[in-house]
Amino acid sequence: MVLAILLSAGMFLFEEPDNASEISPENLLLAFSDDSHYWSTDLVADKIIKQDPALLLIDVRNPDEYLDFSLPGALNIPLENILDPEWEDYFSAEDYDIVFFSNDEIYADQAWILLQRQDFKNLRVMKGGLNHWAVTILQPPIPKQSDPEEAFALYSFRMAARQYFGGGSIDAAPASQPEKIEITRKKKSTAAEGGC
Amino acid sequence: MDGKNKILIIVAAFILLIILGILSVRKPDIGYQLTPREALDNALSLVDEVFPEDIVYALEDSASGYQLIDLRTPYDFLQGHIRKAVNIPSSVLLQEDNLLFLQKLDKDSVTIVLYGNNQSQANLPWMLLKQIGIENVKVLLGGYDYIKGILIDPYAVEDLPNYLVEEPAFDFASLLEINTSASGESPDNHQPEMIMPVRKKKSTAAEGGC
Repeated sequence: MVLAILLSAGMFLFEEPDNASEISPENLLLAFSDDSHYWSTDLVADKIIKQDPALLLIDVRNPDEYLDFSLPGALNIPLENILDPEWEDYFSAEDYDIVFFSNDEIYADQAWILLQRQDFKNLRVMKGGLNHWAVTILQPPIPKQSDPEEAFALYSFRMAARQYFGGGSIDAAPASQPEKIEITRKKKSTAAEGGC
Repeated sequence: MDGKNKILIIVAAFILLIILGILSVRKPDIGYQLTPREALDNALSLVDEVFPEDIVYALEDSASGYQLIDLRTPYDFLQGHIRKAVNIPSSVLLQEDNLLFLQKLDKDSVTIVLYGNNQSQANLPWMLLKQIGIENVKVLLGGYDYIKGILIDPYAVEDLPNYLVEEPAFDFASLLEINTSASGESPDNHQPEMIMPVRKKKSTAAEGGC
């Protein structure tokens, strides 16, 4: 009897009157201190090219900048409107990977933390923003001869992505590209057969 | 019967002790003092952005009401930091003693300036502290990399980065046009570059294997 009363009293004391739709400041700190909410420009480019249906890009810059240039398929929600109730349905649909981006990552991060606090799921930020997009995807640096093989793989991915995002360049020379790739493939296979 | 009652009382007292112990160990609750909307308006007003030049002047004036907080790891801090800065890595920002320290500074109306290597590293910790009710907390534009460039290493060959990082570094639309026209004129120029190094590496690997 005494035990039951004590236990119920204990349960009552433990009950916290917190707002159920918000995560605690400690959990919010945990959510960003390991940088796991950042997606690289390469990952975002890959998902756009593969037309990932779960990808939802959100450009938090102002409409002028958005109209001048943005990522394909991106939705424009300026930072000052990010908390407007009309967008809540987008954020609460848990099937989407929502990726915020701006010119750097400052404004995108600010949108992220305010929505992450409200416990929306699968929110990401494109690391480095469009300025980093420009130097990785639109103008990828050529790797040095001494760089590891991964650097060359990344470079060829970025060059392909650059063609994809470059607009007219895909139509400019569509016929010549597949031929060249076939030739290199044949050479590799014959070399391997001869060796073994 | 007496023995049974005694045991019951002892067990009850023991459980009470455990409950009281857990309650006293529990951390003090940190709650949000600003709504998301208030926090957003504060961020949009840009009032909490401290320009690197202002910090340089503040450092020369010893009586200035600034306290710099270095959010980087202790290792980075020991490699070099801004004078008079205190190291609180952002992952332990909400630990009790750190929070008490920040709250005391805030109460004494000392301006707390957070910095990381760049603005981005201080951006989210600043947003967080602001939302849990620390009012005099600001964020340093440019971060340590920039301060190092103007104060510690002023004759470095490299140009200082632009600390207004949210400004577009390129005219993206015209960058696309350059790409389009460049690859349109000479599409052959780009492809050998990207295929050649891959071909070389693979042929050597095959020889070595057999």
